[in-house]
Formats: sequence, structure tokens, C-alpha cells
Amino acid sequence: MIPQEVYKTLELIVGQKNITQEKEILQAYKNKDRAFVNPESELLGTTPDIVIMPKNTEEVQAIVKTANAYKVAYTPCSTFWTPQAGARFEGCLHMDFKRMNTLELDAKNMNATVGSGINYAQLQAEAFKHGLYTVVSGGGSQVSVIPNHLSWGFSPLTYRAGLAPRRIMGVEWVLPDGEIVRMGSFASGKDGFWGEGIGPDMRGLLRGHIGWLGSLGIVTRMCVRLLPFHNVKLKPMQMHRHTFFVFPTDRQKWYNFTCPSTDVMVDFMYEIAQAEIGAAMTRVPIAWRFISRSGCKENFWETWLQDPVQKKKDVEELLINRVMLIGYASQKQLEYEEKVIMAIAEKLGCTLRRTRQMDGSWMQSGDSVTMWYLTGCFMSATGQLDSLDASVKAGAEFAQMKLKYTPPLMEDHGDKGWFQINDFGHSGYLEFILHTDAYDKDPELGLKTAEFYHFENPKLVARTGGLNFFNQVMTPLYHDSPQYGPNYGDFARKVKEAFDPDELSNPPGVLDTLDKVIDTIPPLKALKEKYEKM
Amino acid sequence: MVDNSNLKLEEYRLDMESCPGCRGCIWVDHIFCTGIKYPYRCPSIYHETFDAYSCMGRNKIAIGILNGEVEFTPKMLDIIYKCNLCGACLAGCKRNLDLDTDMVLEALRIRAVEEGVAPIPAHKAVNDKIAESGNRYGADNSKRQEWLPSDAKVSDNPDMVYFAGCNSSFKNKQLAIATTGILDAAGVNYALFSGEKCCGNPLYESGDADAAKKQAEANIAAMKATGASTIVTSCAECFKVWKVDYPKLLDKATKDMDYKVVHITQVAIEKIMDGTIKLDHPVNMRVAYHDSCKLTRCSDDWTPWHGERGKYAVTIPQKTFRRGITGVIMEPREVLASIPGIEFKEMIRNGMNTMCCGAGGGAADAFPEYTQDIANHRLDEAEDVGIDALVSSCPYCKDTFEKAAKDGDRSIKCYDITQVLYEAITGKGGL
Amino acid sequence: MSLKEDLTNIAGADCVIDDPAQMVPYITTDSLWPPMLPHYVVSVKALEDAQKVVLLANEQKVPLKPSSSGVHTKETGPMCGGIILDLSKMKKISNIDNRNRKVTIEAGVTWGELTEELKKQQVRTVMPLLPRANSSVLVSSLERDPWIIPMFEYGEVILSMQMIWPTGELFRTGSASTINYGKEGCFAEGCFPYGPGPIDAMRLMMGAQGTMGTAIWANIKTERLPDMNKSVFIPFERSEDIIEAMYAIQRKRIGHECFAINDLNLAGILADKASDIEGIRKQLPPWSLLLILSGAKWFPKDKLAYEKEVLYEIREHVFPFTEILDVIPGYGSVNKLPELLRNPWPADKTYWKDRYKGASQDMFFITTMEKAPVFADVVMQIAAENGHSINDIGVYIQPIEFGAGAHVEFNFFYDRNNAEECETVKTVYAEAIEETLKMEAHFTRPYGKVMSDIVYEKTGSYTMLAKKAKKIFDPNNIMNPGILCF
Repeated sequence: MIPQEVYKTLELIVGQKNITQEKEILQAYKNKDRAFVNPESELLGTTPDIVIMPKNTEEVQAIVKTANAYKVAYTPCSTFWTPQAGARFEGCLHMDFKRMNTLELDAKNMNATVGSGINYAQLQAEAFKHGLYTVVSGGGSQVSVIPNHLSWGFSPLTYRAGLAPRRIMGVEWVLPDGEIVRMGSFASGKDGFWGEGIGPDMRGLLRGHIGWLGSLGIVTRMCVRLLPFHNVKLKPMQMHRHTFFVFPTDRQKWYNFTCPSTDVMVDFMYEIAQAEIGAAMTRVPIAWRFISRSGCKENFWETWLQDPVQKKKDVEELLINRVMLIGYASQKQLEYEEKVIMAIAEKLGCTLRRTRQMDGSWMQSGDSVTMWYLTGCFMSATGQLDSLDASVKAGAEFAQMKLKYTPPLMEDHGDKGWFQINDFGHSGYLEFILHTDAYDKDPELGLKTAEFYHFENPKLVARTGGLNFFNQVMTPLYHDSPQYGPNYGDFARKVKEAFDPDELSNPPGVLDTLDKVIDTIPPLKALKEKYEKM
Repeated sequence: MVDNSNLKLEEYRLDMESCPGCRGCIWVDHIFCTGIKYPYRCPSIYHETFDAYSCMGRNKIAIGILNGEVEFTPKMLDIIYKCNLCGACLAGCKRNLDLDTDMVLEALRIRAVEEGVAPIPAHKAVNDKIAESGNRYGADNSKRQEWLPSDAKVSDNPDMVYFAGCNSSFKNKQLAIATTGILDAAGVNYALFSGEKCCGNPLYESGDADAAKKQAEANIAAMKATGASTIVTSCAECFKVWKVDYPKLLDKATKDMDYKVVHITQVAIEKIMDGTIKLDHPVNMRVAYHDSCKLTRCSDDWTPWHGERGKYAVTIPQKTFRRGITGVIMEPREVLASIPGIEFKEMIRNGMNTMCCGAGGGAADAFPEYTQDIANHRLDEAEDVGIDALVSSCPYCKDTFEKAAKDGDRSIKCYDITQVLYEAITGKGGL
Repeated sequence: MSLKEDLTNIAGADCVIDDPAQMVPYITTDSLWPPMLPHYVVSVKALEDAQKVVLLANEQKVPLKPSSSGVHTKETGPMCGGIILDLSKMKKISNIDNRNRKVTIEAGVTWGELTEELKKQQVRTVMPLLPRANSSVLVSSLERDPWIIPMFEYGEVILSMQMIWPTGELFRTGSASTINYGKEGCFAEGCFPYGPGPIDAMRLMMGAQGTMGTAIWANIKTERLPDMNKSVFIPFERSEDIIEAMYAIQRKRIGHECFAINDLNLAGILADKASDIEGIRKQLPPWSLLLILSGAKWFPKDKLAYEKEVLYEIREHVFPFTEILDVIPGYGSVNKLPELLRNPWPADKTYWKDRYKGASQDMFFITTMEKAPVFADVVMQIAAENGHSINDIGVYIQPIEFGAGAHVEFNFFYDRNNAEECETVKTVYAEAIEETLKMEAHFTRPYGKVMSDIVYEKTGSYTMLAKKAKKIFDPNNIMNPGILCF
């Protein structure tokens, strides 16, 4: 229990209205009983002792300093989207940043400075007003802008917009001990328009290919880069349950191409990138098409499981490259890019399909949550961030291994992963969005899932050379992480120790977390020991 | 004790546990988001800020209640009842997930009544008046139809019955007068029915499902006695109760009820389009339309479900999900657009993305300050749009906005759509 | 065993220098301030040898400065004493990968060498404005030299690299960090720049002037070298107008190379010989916008056509008062620009900044483009007040990343042999830093003691963070001590 004197001190910081220890309200912040299938939330998740809602950086600083003085651990939370954003142990102070909802947009210099409570929907809507846009992450428009820039930030739009770390500009950062650091141009003044330096770029401490997920202090304000868009309004529409933008087709269009093989699709993506055209590009897993066309989950399963032989054939042969072109400068740019893409398609034998000129997934991501729709849960089990070739090759191997674990994994007819090309073609991206039945509590199936997710899959990632999302810092036994670099784990730990020696910032942090969890569950521990001996 | 499984909290455990916490229940649909100023469609989270005051938080609380981890304390009742049951969560969650989280909110209230801790005092006071007098004001119900103009063309053998509701019968009689005026102009064969009582919305929203069910049975019986097969309402709450809650309480599907429910704007637009209703009197005004939540998101047909879950929790037989998408949205706009002189503007949050006026769900009775705050927020939005008058399709919305505008010394006018239309037809709307 | 013997054991006697006379190439700088002498210069050719030197320096707590080309163009002279780790012999260019558009270079590869090699395959790297042909590409990339093509969203060209931590441990960054990188069965190609995990060593190394570690090789981005171009020259009288033009052009994402430059700097670049500079300058407008529209791989003419149309539309709305020209007065056709700007400054020619008066003291920072004219006014005023002719100042404004920010550079030209002029420039330089810093100029690369002392004093919290980080990675503070705030 957090002592009452701490509560009283915190109350003085934010005012009586913005702090609570009423158990009824705390119950709503319980980091358990939610659909995230993740050992951390399932096993470590708990209810915080106090919820506090600061308004600005100075209040956050005062809270963190108080927490340090009394050795109280705290959990920073912007939109509570990931299990790491909630209390994972008893006696935790939960910081809810909903009130930190400021957004200042500099249209001329294409940036916006946001508080921790601002989500992508808001930022994107504000950006559109000025002929600008941001990359709404695959996590969805409901995701908070700051933590997502700090931890992930990919979408097919990353192809043209570049990688999220690059879009982090000025940062106001409350270190784990409560000191405020202003980085980028915030170090030099009030305008956060620039991200680098002075001297060494300390953004290197804030995030690598992923972030610290709240365990290295709190970024309270961030200036993020926006990108030039066309200046035609995207018209929102609703049809049945679906909401989407209707594209102004003289400036923005989707093109779906059927490719004769995966190799050709990959070549197609590379060729488009080398042609210096396009705004977004992604392979469309067939299951997604079934999701979008099914009226409900029941309908999906009815059709998805029909005729498995044909489905397998579809998955192998219906290879769709979905490309978005934007006439950023003019209608003629779009016409030019269309001419190029059609010529490339012809050269490679790819066929243009009928394509609806609407979007509810990427300009704003309204439907990311459909990932829960099929089975009640999902996991991004395998991530590959390297060249597109590397990603696709690794995907083929994962697909093979996945067969051995289907079930408990959902039948996906041998899909070889969702891949896209990033950074104007300089890198690629592969992800397996995998589903198990969240409602089947059979422990044997659970153990088999764990074996796949926590042991076999990371081993394969390590062998094939992938940067495996968040799993890299959370894999039991560190199949991959400590050896990456090859000694990155040591340096990451040194950083954590130097900045947060008492481990107060969102414990148990991102390093060693899963081992701690797994060691508390005998069957998983036994599994871990088996792999330790291998 | 409620014996209808569709009203039981336990029935929705899977829905609660399947909530990933995306907060679709609170935000304006992302595609329709207009920026930082008006991001919420859930009034409760706008006002109270802590997660407990969202459907996502209430899901966890409901799990806690089922698991015996938390109890119905006064704070808990504040959390449960400081909610407008406005369907923001219904539409938000069903955008992507078929979780009946809106029913969690209703079942929580029903559970509170079963536990004997609700109705909360403010609601009990209203419920008692309904029980005693047949209307929410405790007025003499025999005077319910005193407002009826002597020249109203009511039929002895109607096809359609106008259910005026408590508010228009006793408080905003001009709306009932306007409605019959519209029906007269439309030339429909209508009547009122004797024995009309409160629709029972306050009873149901307070969690007293048994009392609400009795009210439903009484009103349906009275309606059947007229021989008509269609109910027309000018009140969004009455509309939703007849269309959704009565079948729900009777464990029947809306389509299986032997009456049809229409809103006055649906009748009107048809007759405006075919030329029966003439709009000869210009209404020179800049107006925006406030979508009443009960009419917009809460009025999808009800279909009970009694079945089991298969693999991946698929429903067997397949459940018919309410997604808050078939409400009355276009007709009021078409009515306003057809009135000469009106300059129509959309609210920033409109249609499915509307925000409740703050009165729904019994909040106006129990938490007047909360209601006033929400109404002011909505009026701020209306003023941002730049209008003379805010028009709604529900007398409770009108009352709520009118009070907030008056208390806040705002110049904006607040009308019901029937008043505006009646003015356009007769020039006697008194605007 | 002495340090020299240890070094000799690692690199061989021929590769260890302790004679000050032989050190001249390693310590020569453009600086107004005198260079410091190291104790040793040790040249290595292999990663393992470099690691041994770092391990030795760390063990013996001896200052160490990595040097990639020996060309110290900014205030990057070595610390007093210690070891210079000379990597200039590490010149391997490999894996020219036109599918992923990258190339692997070792630290000693120069702009001249890389440009020539890439040209053979019709590719290029994005380049700063006319770097010296004999300067290191890797250093340029690490030091965030501004690229003259602002159209790519990425300002960071390094995809992954091999480095040595100050403690001597080897480290690969980004997706080259994977365990089996380069081995059979591992598909990773080192194309993803960040990580591994939640720290980013590459970024800690960027702008660090060798204080955070030693870079050995890197995978850097390449782009196709366009074979069809349309260059334009747009003259402006006022800096405010040229800024608005660049905002408009960048917002439309057209063109590759794009920057603004004043008459003196442009004349310094365009003149065949130094004596022509004044003559050319007189023919030039105060401000020039140089823009190269580039055809792409497919239908280059079509691309040039739509970009040209957009450019003329912009002119109509934003700068109707001036012309879009094909000829640069005193120079000739703009068609020569691609050849000029896509190659480094030849090693055998006096560097363009040194042509006018023999030397240049450069002051540059990052700001938003709209503020550049205000900064220019202030700097000119300071120069005038201190007796430095404003006619002897070059100005270069480079929009970065679609003009979201700009590198603004002032070149104070002076005669190295004129002591009074040197002193004046020193005064102007320091005052200009002080004043522009007050106006929130963002000095991302504070070179030299004068600038870094002023800048770090004003940016306390960042300085504290940088020092704390430095202590984690370089506990003995061996890497280039005395530089920046370390």
C-alpha cells in the first residue's frame, strides 16, 4: 500500500479532483481481465493503488520526484493500449495522461507539438486541415502519438513517410528521477521543430527499434514531424458499420495488383520504390479480405473454413500488392505515377484488380481493432525489420514452422505473413498476426502456444536475423536479445541502472520481464528449463 | 427478479472480458474525428475523466462485481448512473467488434436494482410518481391530453397512434400541438389513445426492469385497443422505448411486435416529398441539428438471443447484433433542408457521432450539474458552428439546451424540430 | 611495456607515429585556433586491430580520437596528447546493392572514391554541398552534414554500422546487430537503422565527434543517379522571398537538389579561378535559388514535365516578380549544375570556401527557414559593428526534409596571414554565436571549444543528460576528451 502521506503530497500537486484511491475507480484501471493475451497482463496484471491525472510536465515532474522520495513505483499511461501501460504489481501509482491533451501545430514548418494524451485520430485530423499528414500506426488511430512514436509507428504509409524514430523532433522528457530534459530544439528554445543534438543525439537513449515502454521515465511533450499531403479534403463516409474516407481520385488512389508469384510481388515492390513513386504499399493477407467482407465473426468463420483446399490455393496464388499513389504536387503527378506503375505491372505480369477508392485503415486507422474480431485475441509473433527480401525469406520459414503449431494457432491456410516495404524501398517489414482461441482455456493448448511464442519462434527469429518487435526485449532466455549487437542487453541494462537505479519507472521494465513472469508458472518454467538445456 | 437472460449481467461476461481497451466506446469515430476540440462522443468520460466513467472501465467494474471483487457502494452507483446510456459505446465498439458492451451498462443497473441498492433516490422519486400517477411529473394523468387542439383531425378508426409522451403532454405542450398539426397537414389517419401512460423509459433506465415491463404491457394493450398498427412519436426516448425496450423487456424481437414505430420526421418527410405537406412560411434562421442519441444510435431493432458459444465464441444460433446504425438520421435533416429560409449547418459531431445533450439515462434527474456541463459543451460546439438555433428531435434535449442557454445567458435558441416544421406549415410555431 | 610498444605490437612499427613532424597531416585543421598534438598516431587496417587499440587506450586511460580521413574541416582538431586512431587506410567499398539501394563503406572511404565507384553503376549517395573529395563519407554521415536534396524524408543515411564502444566491445547497429549477420542462414542485410532494443547506438554516435565510440564500417543509403535533369536558377533580391519560394517548392515535393545561396558563396563555387570571383559576383543577384528537377527511372521526361509545370504554377503565385532562368550570369548554362553538385570538390583544387580569402570560419545552426533572414540581419550587424566587412560573408541556406527546418550557414572569409583579421573574425564568430543562440538558433553540431562552451552552458538539462550517457558508455572518458561538453 502506498502510504497516505504520499497520497496527500500528490493531492497537493494535482488537486483533489485529479487523484483517487477509490477502489471502484481503481477497478477500471485493472491491468487484467482484458483481451490482450499476454503473459504480463494475464499473470502480472493488477489494480493500481492510486490513479493520478497530471496536467503538464511540471506536475509530472513533481509526481515523479515524490515517487522517488518515497520509493513508490509508477506506471505512465497515455491511452492504456498496451499491457505495459498498466499496473503489473501491487502498490503502484498509475499516471493517466488524459488531461495532457495539448496540440500546437506549425503548418508552415510541418510539425505538431503534442501532449501525452493526444491520439493519432486527433493529430491526423488537425494535420489534414493544413494539407499535411502523419503516419497513423497499425495500432490504430486510438493510439497515443507520443508512446507510439517512441515504441513502434509502422504502417504501409511508412513507405513514403519514413520511419517513426525519424519523426520524433523536440522532446520534453521527465527522467526516472524527476529531472526534466529538453531535447532537440527544445534544448535551445521554445520551438520543438528539430530533433537532433546538441552533439550526440540523445534520442538514441529514448528508443532503438522499439522503446522502453515507460520504464525510462516519461516523455510529456513531443514535437512530431508532419509531411506534405495534397490539399483536397478526404470526405468521411459511413456505410453500414464501416466508416471510411472517399478518395479524391484525381489526387489519391488505391491500386490492387494480382501478382503471379510472391517473388514477382517482391520485385514489383522494389521496382516501384526504385521508380521513386508511391505513397504506401503492402501485401494484403487473404484473411483480411474475408474480414472486411464478412458481416460478422460468425460469417467469417463460416466462409473461411469452407473448402480448405481452395483456400490454400487462394492463399498461395491470390497475391495482392496494394499500392496507394498520391498526387502530392498535382493531378498530373498522380497521372504520371499511374503511368509508371501500370508499365511496371505490365513488365512483371501483374494485373490490376477492381479497387474501391476508399480507405478506413491507413489514413486514419479506424479498424485496427478488428484483429481481435476473429478469435478474441491476437499476437504479433514474428517481426522482421530488414530488407524486403530478408523479410520475405524469413516469412517462408516461419510459415513452415507455424504449421506445426496449427492448432492451437488459427487455421490460416499457410499464409506467409503480412509484408510491406518501408523507407522508400530501403527496408522491408514482415509481421505475422497470429490468432489463438482466447476462449479455449485448455492448458495443453496454452502450453503449446507458449512454446511457439516464447521459445521456437524467437529461436527462428534469431537464426534468420530479425528484429523481433517488443519480443526482443521480452523473450525468455534471451534467445535473441542479449546477443544482438552482440552485447546490447548489457548496455541497455547499464542505461536503466544509471537512470533508474530503484526501478521505479514502470517496473518490471522491458528487460528480463518475461523470465520473471515465466518463472512463476511451473509448466512454463519447466518448458524454459527444457529449452535452457537445448 | 428479472427472469429474462438477455437482461442479466452474467450474460455479458464474455463481452466484458473481450474488451481490448481500444476506447472506441468514447471517441468520435476516427474517420470522422475533426481534431482536438471535440474528440469524445461519450459524455461521461468528457465530464468525469477517470476511466471508470467509460464503457471500457465499466466493463472491468462489471467483471469485478460478477467476481465479487467490488460492491455496489455509493461511488459505484455514481459510476454506473453517471452515464447517459446514449449508445456512444454501442456504435464505437460495434464499428469493429461485436461486443454488446452497451447491454453491460443496462444490465449493471438492473443488477443494482436486484441487489436492492437502486433505483437511486432521484430515480426512485420519478419512478414513484410514474407508479402513482402514470407520468413522470406526478400530474393528474387524466389531463394528459388536455393540450389536444379542438380542431385536430383525430380519427375514430386510426391507422396510426400518436404517443405524445410525458414531456409533451404536460410540459412542452406546444410540441404535441405542433405534432398533431403536422399529422393533420400530412393527412394521415391518426388518433391518440386513451390510457396513455409514461412510456417507462425512466423505469428501465433506472434499472427497474420489472416495473418497466409492466408499463410496456399496459401501454401496448392500450395501443392495441385503438386498432392501429403504427405508433408515431415526437419524443426520441419514447421512440426508442417502443421500438427497442418493449420487445427487449418482453423477450421478443422488434420485428415480431405487432406494431411499427415511426418518428414524426419520418412521416413528415414522406408527405413533404409527395407534396401533401406545404411549407408556405419561410423560417429565416441558421440552424444546426442535434442528433438525439436515442433516435440516432439507440434505436436499432432488438432481437433477443438465447444460444450458446462455439469455437472462437461464435454465437449459435447466430446472434443479430445491434450496431447503432439504422437510426433516424437523414429524415430530420431532409425536413429541415426542405423548409424555405433555413440555412442548415452540421454540428461538428453529428449523426452517429453525436454527443448526448447530457439528459439521457436518467442523468438529468440524478445529476443536474453533470447534465448542465454536457449541455454547455454541446452548446459551445453549436456556437462554433455559427447558428441562430439548435434544433433537436426530443423534448428532453430541447429542455436541457434551453436551460443551459438561459443559465449561461447565451443568445442561441433551442427548438424541437416539430416546432420549426409547424412554423413552416402554419406560421404559428411561435418561434 | 610502453604504450608505443603496445601500439607497435598491434599495428606494426610502420603504422605508429610519434614524431610531431610526421603528424602534420593528422592535426591540420581549418581552425583559427591552433591544433593540439597527440602522443601517437596509430594506423590500422582491420577491425580487430582497431578494437585492440581501443581496449588498450581504455585499459591505460589514454585519450583516443578516431580519425577517418585526416581532413579536419571544422573545429575537430585532436585533444592534447593521447592517441589518434587513424582509420584512413580502411577503404573498402563493398556490397553495392542496387536492389535495396545501399553500399557498405569503411571509415576511410572518401567522397571522391565513393562517388567514382557508384557512378559506374549509375547510383550515388545523397551528398552535402560540395564536400572535399578527400574527406570521409562515414564521418559526413555521422556528423549530420546537411544533404542538398531535401526531398527524402530521411536525414539519416546510415542504415547500420559496425562500431567499437569506448570500452572496446564490438557492436553492430540496426538490423546488422542480428546474431548471425553475414552468416549462412541469416537473411539480415543490415537495412534497418534503429536498435537493437530500446537504445540506438547509431544515434548516440551521430554528432558525437568521436566521443561516443569508433565507427568502422557502415551500410549507407544510395539512390539512383538521374540521367535526365532540368536545372533552374532563380534570382532573388530579398532573402525573405527566396525563403517563401523554397517553402512552396518543398511543400510540393518537387526537385532533388534545392538550396539558397548568396552571391559571394555562389561566385566562390562557380568561378574557374579565385580571381574570377568578384567579377562573377557582380553579375549575380544577392540571392540565388538552385534547383535540379530530376527524371526518374521510368518516363523521366514525363516526370520532369509535371514538376516543371508545378514549378511555374508556384512562380505565378509565390514569386511572380522574378524569372526562372536557364543561364546563370557569369557562369553559363544551368545544365552544368548536376555535374557540379553531384560530385565532391576536387582534391586538387583549392576548396571553394578557401578561394576568396584563403580561409573561412563557418558558423552554422538549424532553424526554421522563415527565421533565416532575421538571423542573417543580426549576424551581418555584428560583423559590421566589429569591423568585418559584410561583403566578406558567405551565406548558405539549405532546406532539410521538405523545408521542415534549414541548415543556415555563415562563412566568415578571412586572410589567415592577417592577424588583425583573424582576431576580428574570432570576435564576430563568438558574438554571433551568443546572439543567435539567444534567438533560439539550434546549434546541433557545436564544433570547437568556443562554440561548444557557449552552447552547452545555455542548454543545461541536455548537457547533463549527455554527460550521464557518456559516463555509461565511456566510463574512463577516453574518447576525444575535451570535445563538446565532455
